[in-house]
Amino acid sequence: MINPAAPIARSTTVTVVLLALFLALVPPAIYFAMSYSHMLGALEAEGEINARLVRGLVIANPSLWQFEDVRLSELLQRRSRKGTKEVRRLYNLKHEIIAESADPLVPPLVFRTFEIQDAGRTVAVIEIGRSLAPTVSKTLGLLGLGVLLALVAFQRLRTLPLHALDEAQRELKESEEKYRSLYVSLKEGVALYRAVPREGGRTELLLSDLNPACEVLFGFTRSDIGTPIAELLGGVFAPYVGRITGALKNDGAVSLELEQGVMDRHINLTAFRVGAERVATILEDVTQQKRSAEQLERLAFYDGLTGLFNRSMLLERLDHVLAVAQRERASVAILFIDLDRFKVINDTLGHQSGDLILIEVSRRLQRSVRKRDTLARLGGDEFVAACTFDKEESAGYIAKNLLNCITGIYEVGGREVYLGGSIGIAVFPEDGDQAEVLLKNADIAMYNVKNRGGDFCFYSAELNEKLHQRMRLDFSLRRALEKGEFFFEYQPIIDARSGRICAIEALLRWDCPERGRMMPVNFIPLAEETGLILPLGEWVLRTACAKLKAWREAGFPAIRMCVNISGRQFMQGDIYSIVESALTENGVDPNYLELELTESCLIHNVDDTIRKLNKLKALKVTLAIDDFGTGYSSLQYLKNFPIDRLKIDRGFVKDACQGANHRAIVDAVIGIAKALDLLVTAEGVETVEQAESLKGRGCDALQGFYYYRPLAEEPLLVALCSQGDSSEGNRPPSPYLATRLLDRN
Amino acid sequence: MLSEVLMAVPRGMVIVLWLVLLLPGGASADGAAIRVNGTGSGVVVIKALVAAYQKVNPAASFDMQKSLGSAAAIKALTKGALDIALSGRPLNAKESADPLVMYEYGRTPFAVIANRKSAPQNVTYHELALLFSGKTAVWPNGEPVRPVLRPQEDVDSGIARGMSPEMDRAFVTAAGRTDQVVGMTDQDAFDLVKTLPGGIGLIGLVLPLSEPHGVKLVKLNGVAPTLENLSSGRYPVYKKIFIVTRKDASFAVREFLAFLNSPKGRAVAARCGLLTTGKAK
Repeated sequence: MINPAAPIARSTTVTVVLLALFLALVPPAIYFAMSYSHMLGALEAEGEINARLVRGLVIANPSLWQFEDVRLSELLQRRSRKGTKEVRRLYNLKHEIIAESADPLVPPLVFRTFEIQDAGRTVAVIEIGRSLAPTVSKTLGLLGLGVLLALVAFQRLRTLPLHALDEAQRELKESEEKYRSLYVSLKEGVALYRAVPREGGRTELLLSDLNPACEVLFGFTRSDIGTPIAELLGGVFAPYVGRITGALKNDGAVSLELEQGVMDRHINLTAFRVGAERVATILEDVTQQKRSAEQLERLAFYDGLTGLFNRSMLLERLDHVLAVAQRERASVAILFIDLDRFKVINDTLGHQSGDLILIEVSRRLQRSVRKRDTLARLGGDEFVAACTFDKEESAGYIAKNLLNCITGIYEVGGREVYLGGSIGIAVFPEDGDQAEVLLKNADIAMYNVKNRGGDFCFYSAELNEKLHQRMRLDFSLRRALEKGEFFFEYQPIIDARSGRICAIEALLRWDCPERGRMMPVNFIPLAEETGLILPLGEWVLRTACAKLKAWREAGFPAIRMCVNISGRQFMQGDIYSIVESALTENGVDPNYLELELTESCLIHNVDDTIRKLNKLKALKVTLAIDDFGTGYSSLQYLKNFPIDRLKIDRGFVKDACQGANHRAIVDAVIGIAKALDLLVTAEGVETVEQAESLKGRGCDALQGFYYYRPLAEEPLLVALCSQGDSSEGNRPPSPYLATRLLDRN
Repeated sequence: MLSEVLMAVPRGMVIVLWLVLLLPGGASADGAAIRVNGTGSGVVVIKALVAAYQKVNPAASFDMQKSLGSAAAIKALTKGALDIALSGRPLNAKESADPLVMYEYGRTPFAVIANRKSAPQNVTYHELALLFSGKTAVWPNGEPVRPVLRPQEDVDSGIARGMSPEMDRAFVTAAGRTDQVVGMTDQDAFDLVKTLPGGIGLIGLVLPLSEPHGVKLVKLNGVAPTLENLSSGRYPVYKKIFIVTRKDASFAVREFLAFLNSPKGRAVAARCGLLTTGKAK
C-alpha cells in the first residue's frame, strides 16, 4: 500500500537536510571566506606599506642595500598591529633571505609577495605571511556550532513536522477506519454517485460505491457500480432522479419517501452533495417504523381489542360531529352502552372468553350503526355510539336497535352465554354541548338504568341530582368514620336446643346527622364501591373486639360475636393482620369471634381464598358462610374451605313452612352441613312455626325477630344478664351488672 | 698620440704626474676607487678626511655612498664590496672570525640634540628619561615632545640605553609607542630632529658639527658635548668609531689609513668632532 505521506516525508527530509547543511556549512564558509579575504587584504596593505619602506632603503643605496640586514629587519618589524603574528622576509633575486621578521606561526600559512623595484627592475621580493590556523579553528568552531544548530534544526524541522504528519495521518486513518466501519456497519444503505455531465447540460448520476446494507437490505449488487441511478433497483429511483440530482446544487439535503413496490417497503431517501461532483444517498427502510407508527396511532386512537375508536379518538370525533351538528342544527345522541353481568362472565369464564364476547359485541354494534355514526369502546364492557338523528324518538329507536343487536346468546369456548345491555342516552344540544359533558351525562343515564333496571334511559337533571346525592353520601360516609357516627346493634342468636343466647351478630348502623339512622343497605354498597369499606370494615372488627373486651372486663358472661366481612374487604384488605391485631390488642379469645363471609366473596380466586381462610382459621376464629343458598352454594368449596358454620338465608327460612321446595333446600343444606360436620344457623326466624320446624330439622341455632330484634347494647346486655351464665349453674343474670356497665360506657 | 698629449702638458706637471704614478702604495695603483662606508658619524668624518687626503693625493679615488651603518658595512667589507668599513662598535665574534683588521680610530661625544625651536639648554639623565619615555610630553613652550629613536639593534640605541637604567627603561617604553619616530641612519635621525618641531635625539657630535645651525646641542647634566670635555672626562657619553679593513687591504687603502692616523688626518678628524684614539704614525 502506498503511503501517501511518504512523498511529503521525503520532500520534508530533503528540504530539512538542505536547510541543515546550509545552517551547518554556510555560516562557517562565509566566515572563512570573509576572514580569508580580510587576511589577504591585510597582507596586501601591510605588504605595500612595508615594500615602500624597504624600497626607500634600497634606492638609497642600490649597490650595498643587501648588507643593511639590521635596518631592513627593523623595517620588516614595523607592523600596523602589534598583536598580529606574521612572517616577513626579504629575498634577493637569488631568493636568498636578506632580512626577516618572523613570528612563530602555526600552519597553514598564507603568503603574499611584493616586488621591490629600482629603476624599473625588480631587485628584491618581500614575502609576508600569516597563519590561517586561527581562522581555520574559528571556522571549525563555527562549523561545530553550525552542525549542532543543524542537528537541532533537523530534529525540530523534520521530526516535529513528520511526527505531526504521522499523527495527523494516524488520526486520519483512525477517523477513516471509524467512518469506514460506521459506513460498513450502518443499517442504512449508503450509496455514492458520481455526477457525469451529459449532452444538453444534463447530469447523470452513476453509482460509484455502496455499503453492505445497500446489498443486504435494498438489493443492490456490486455489479451495479457504474450504473445510472435511474436504472437501479428496477427503476425505483427513476421518478426522483431530478430531485436527487438537484442535491448537487443545494447545500442542504433532499429527502424523499419512496415505495419499493415489489418488496412492499417504504424507503426514506436522503440525498446530499459530497464534494463538487458527488452525491451520497442514505436509504432507510422505514417500513417497520411506518407500521409501528400506524400501530401506535391505532393504539393511541383505537381500541386494541375491538378495533373501535378509543376514548381519545371518540372525544376527538365527537368534537367534529358536534361541530357539524351545530352547523346543520342536527341532534346527536350519545349512547353509553354497558353490558349486563359481563363481569360475572369474565370472572367465571375467564378474560379470554370475555374478550371474545367483547369482540363479537363490537361486531354486532358495527353492523347496527350507520356509517356516519361513531362507535367506540371506552374500556371494559363500556361502548359508546354517537348517532345523529332528527326526532327524539329516533334516539330511543337507535337505542332499542342497538340493544336488540347485542342482546342474545354468544357462543364462547363451546358454551353459550346470554348477554344483555343497558344504554344511557344524552342528547346534543339539550344535555350538553361538550363531548365530555355529553359522555358523562350518558354515563349517568346508563348508571340509572343499571340501578333501576330497564333497557335504556335518557339523561335528565334528576339523574344528575341522584349522582350528586351519591357523591354527598360518599363524603358523609368518610366524615362519619372520622367522627365516630357508626355504631352497632346486636341481634342475639339462640341455641336451638337450650333456647339460650349463644351468640350475637353485630349489625352496623350509621347515625347520620342529616339523614338520621341509616341501615347498612343504604351505605355499604357505596362504601364497597368507593373503597371506604376497607377502613370501615377494620373499624367494625376492632370495635367488635373492643366490645368483647369491655364486656369481659365488666364481668358479663362471655359471648360469641359474629361480624360480617365485606367481600371487597376479604379480597383486597389484609384481613388476617387486622383480625390478629384486633384480637391481640384487646386480649380477646378468638373462639368468641365469628367472621361471616358471603358466598360471592369466596368464589373469586379460590386458591387465594383457601390460603386466607386457613390463615384466619389458624387464629382459631370461627368462620361462617352468610346467606348460604343465595349464591353459588358450591359443594366443592364447602369441602375445601375451613368453614365452621352455614347460615341459611332468610329467604329459604321464610317459606320453609309453606313451600315444599324451600323445605327441601333447607333440609338439603342442613343435611350437607351435618355430613360435613358443620353447624347450621337459620336466619330470619319470625314465627314459632318456623322456629319449631327448623329445630325439628336439626338447625343448631336460630336468629330472627321471633327471638330478638336487633338490640342496642344496653338491652342486649340486660338480655344476656337476664338469662345468666350457663357455666355458673344457671344463676339468674344480674340486671344491676348491665346497668353498671352501661353507666360506665 | 701619447707623445702628443705629453707635448701639450707643461713639463713640470708631467713630472709630478709620473711621480705620483710611481709612488708606492698609491691609491690608484690598481686603478680602483677606495670604497668606504659605515656608521653615519664615521662617514661624515671620513668625507672630510677624504677631501683632505685628496688634496695631498689627488689621484686617490673614493666611492662613498649613503651611510650603510656599522653592521652592513662590516658585512659588505667581508663580502669584498667595501674596502674600509667605519663601525660604531667593535667586531662581534662572528665578524672577528673573518680576515678583518679593526682598530678604534676615535671617539665623538654622544650628544643630546634638539629642534632649535623648543630645545632646552640642559637636561639631566632623569629629564632625558622622562622625555624619551613620554612622561614629559610637552616642552616648556608648549610644543609636544617628539623623541627620535634609532633602530633597536643600532649601535646608537645601545649607547643610549647604556647611559642609565632609567634611560634603558625609557627606551623600552619608547620602542613600544605607536607614535615612535625612528631614524634609520644617523643622517635620518639628525634630519628628523632638525625638522620635527619638538624633536629630540641622541647622536654623535660629528653630525651636528657638520651642519652647525641645524639643531641645538643640549648640555647633559650641565656639561656641553665638546671634545675638550670628552677628553677631560667631564662628558661621560661617547661613541667610538672603529676602522675595519681586510687583512689583505690594498696599498692605497693602507696609504689612506696612514693618512688618517697622520697628524693632519687627526687634526681634520678633530675638527669634525672626533677625538682620535687610534695609533698615531
